[in-house]
Amino acid sequence: MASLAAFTPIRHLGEMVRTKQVSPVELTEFALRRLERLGSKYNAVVTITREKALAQARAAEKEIVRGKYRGVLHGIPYGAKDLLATSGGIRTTWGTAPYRDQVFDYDATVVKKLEAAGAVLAAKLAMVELAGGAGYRHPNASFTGPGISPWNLEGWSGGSSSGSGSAVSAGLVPFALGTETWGSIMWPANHCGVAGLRPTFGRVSRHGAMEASWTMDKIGPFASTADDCGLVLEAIAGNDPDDETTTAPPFKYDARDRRKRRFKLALLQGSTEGVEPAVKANVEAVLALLERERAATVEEVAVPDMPYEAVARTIISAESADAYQEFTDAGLGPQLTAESSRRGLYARYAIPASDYIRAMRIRRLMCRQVDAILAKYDAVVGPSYQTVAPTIDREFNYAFSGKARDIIGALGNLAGLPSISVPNGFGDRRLPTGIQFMGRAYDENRILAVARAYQGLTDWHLRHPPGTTPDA
Amino acid sequence: MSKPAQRSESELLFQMIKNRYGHLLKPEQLEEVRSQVELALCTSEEMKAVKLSETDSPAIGFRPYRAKR
Repeated sequence: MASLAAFTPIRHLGEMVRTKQVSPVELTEFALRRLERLGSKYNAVVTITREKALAQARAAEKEIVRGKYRGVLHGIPYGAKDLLATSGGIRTTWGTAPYRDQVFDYDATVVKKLEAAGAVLAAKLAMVELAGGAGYRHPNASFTGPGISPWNLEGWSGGSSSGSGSAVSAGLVPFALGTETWGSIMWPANHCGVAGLRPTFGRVSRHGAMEASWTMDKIGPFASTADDCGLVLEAIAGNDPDDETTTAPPFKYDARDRRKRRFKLALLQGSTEGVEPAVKANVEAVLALLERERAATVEEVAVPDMPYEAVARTIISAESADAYQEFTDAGLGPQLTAESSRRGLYARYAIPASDYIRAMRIRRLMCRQVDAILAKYDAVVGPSYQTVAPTIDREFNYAFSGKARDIIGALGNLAGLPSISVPNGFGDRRLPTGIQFMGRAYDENRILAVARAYQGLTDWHLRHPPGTTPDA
Repeated sequence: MSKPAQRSESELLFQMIKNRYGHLLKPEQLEEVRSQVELALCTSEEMKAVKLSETDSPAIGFRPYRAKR
């Protein structure tokens, strides 16, 4: 048997499993030990699914011994954000105290798809209460405590997929699932120094996921590398009759080496204005490196002056008003953990239907305008977040609350565009920063190729937080 | 919308929220809700400033349903 080490990429782990250098049970026990030992240090875990994980791992092992190998995820442990329904008495808390004992009698489609691929569910991971839809402004907005970045125990792991980012960053699991309505994959990826992929809207079924905003919620993977994100996306993507927003084109991950190709990139004008100096410098360093290595040409591009954030806020607020109506009307708001969440649920009920319709009309116009711009490039580039991880004890600037600008995030989520965040250096307090590559709808393979090319030239993704030694 | 008109509309909307959920909120939380309602009205004004044509329909994909047998 080969020795196991945390942070080993899925592609390599999969090969070790396939060639029987390591068994799924051994791999799962390794992940469970790390989850049990380190999970609470980062407030990353809600439930460790030990029993289910070992049962799935034993089943995987039996199949592999018999020669039935399902593919690269067979026998690989993972964690799921705790808003994805799981059966078998495993609770699904949505990050909230009132739902701390909530259980479902079915599995979310993505959980079923990963089971079919042979992956092993090892943990339900912590998240911001109601996926941040209550308008939180403080990192403590979770009944499991503030998510902590493994890079600095005073830094926030980001939200709302807090545990998904930190669990991968600390090497507790090889990959995790998170969701994004606006920022919930990009920000934890930035704060935790890992890869996070937001797929095209409709690429991945949301059946069984807590709903925050029907027309903006997406599910995507966190992993050590862009390549691993591609492998996971292929397993979870696809049409699902239980989610009518899923779109027909199948996704086949194309991992071919594109390093000989010169990508055409565009830096979104204004995206580095007002951001932390290190964030700006690190984005500029990426672009300079890609140009110097003749891996990409870079130009600056402007998008039409439109109220992207206002439109995104209106749509999310109006849709979540209905999504949370039962919760709000049951008087559960005061039981939320963060003071900002407790008072943030209500104003959305004053948004008139005409505002929502107007936002959706502007949205359609924006989608067309943005696609026409993106069609000229392989990817548009911008920082994944304006700063390194904020400290866990203070209010952060949150675009949804109208306090900060996040044009690339607002327009990317409004238009349902895929984007991948990968680490690109460090900033204040030795915390990581990230760069995002955003593409046209359904162009995941293209942005993954750009991100892989960048990771092939750098070693940021090979650095790991202090105190997370790779042994069990 | 003029500032006084906006303030009056905002107050009416706030009163609706207060009527419905006021019992769940402390006075300082209600003040925060009031400012959030004001922000929503500013957001509304921002969106009204965008020029749209008759052909700019909403990005909503309704499809009639018919069960397969």
